[in-house]
Amino acid sequence: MNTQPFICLDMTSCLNNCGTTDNSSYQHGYLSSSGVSLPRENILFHTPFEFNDIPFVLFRQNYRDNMVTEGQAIQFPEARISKIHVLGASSDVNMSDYMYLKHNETLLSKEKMMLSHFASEAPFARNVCILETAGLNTLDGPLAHRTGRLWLDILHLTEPLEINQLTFEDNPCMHIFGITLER
Amino acid sequence: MTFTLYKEARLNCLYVNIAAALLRLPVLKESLPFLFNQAGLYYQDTQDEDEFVLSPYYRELDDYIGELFGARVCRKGYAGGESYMGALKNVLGTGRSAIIEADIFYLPHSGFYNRSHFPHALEVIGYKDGVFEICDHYYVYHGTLTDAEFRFIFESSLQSPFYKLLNLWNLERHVTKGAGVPDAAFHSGVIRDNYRNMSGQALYDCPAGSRAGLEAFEPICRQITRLKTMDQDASKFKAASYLYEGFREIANSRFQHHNFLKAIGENELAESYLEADQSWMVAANLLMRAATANQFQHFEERILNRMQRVREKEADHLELLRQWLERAEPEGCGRSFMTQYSPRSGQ
Repeated sequence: MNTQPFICLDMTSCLNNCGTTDNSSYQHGYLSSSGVSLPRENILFHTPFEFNDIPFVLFRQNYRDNMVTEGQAIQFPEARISKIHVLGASSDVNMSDYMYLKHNETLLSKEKMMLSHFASEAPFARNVCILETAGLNTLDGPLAHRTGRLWLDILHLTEPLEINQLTFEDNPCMHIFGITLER
Repeated sequence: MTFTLYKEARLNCLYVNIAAALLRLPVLKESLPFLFNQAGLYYQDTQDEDEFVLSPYYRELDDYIGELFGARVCRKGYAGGESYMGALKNVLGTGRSAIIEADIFYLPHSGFYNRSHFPHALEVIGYKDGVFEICDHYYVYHGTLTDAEFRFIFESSLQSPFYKLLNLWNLERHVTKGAGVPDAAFHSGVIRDNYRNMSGQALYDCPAGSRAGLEAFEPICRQITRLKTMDQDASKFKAASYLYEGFREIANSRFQHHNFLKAIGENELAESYLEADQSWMVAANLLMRAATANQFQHFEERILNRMQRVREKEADHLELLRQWLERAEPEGCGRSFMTQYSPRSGQ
């Protein structure tokens, strides 16, 4: 039995959006409906890193590097979880919506996830900026005078729960780049 | 001018400029939540079945600008680039800023330069030696444009299909008053008007024949389901853009109303309006995705499901506002309010 304190979920099979680009891939960016994306420089993929002692791993495959929440489910080996660390950002506005914690399709808890806008200067109070980019990318290239951000949201469960599935609402404004479960 | 950019991402491109110009009068920043207080809804069909009006604002903003700040927004339209430039320079010569409009296609600092055409507004705060100082608050840009550049932008914009005239706005203060925060009577009035409108009343400046409040959801959903049946792309995308822009502005109004509620200490109600804001924005996002992919049939169920969530939230608000008004206006006033403005009667 895996008793490591943290589980970095492998998001590879859930990736459905391109949120970061470089100068060879501007046209793939879709963090916003106008094709804005974060510059990929200084963002680590497939490499564990820590923020405030919490480990994260971000995944990227065929330009896709995040999951837009569209009612899908992520399944993983059963674990007793006390906190969920979500790394991501929203388009349009600072956005919140529900995440459903399940064990074999049985709903155990409904938690509100809050992810601030990727360029917000007035984020949700409980979000922490985990990454800032110098500029944003558009379909035509960089917008140097803007700043992009990825946010950390921590969901504290009222009691530890044995879960093996997370389900999301149909809310394509929310982009999840990484999830770490804490036992 | 004591500041350049006013950073407020949740006001449309005209309102954010009006807010910035008010701050330069000056007015207190703390008073702005009382200005952008409307969280209503109405829908109106027009003669053209592909055009309709969808708005959260049942009353002209100018009414509140006068009541709160003793000021008014002066607006005049110009059919020529030179006359427009001249008027702009005249306003700037008085030491005031001016709000101008232009087709965003011709604005070099925007992400839509040489890409997309649509109307936009920005503030001009100075002119010296042939150079204008501009503040595009909506796109968070502070910079300059020369006489020649502006002339080109204005002349080109007047060729755009949505501009017959270019409007120039500036603020004038006619009474020295109201730089402060309004009283409880104002708060009640705002909440009462929002309740009345969302209960189905076409108030103040709502056009005759409009469907107000929760009653607007039926024609809105009708427009959504109509999109998949439309063969002509031009009509289809025109209707979709009316819905999209309408949803975003309704979302903005809920966000601003949450600021108003926070300012009067109603934090729980404010939080609920924030959720409504987010839900309208999700509906807009889904609509945009449907339009981008030209797959309205594919997205219809998702959009309508989200609209159901939105409607439920707005209906919850109606009840919360009714309870608030009962507490704030008990006994005689409350009873007459309840009888007169019952959501079931819609009278």
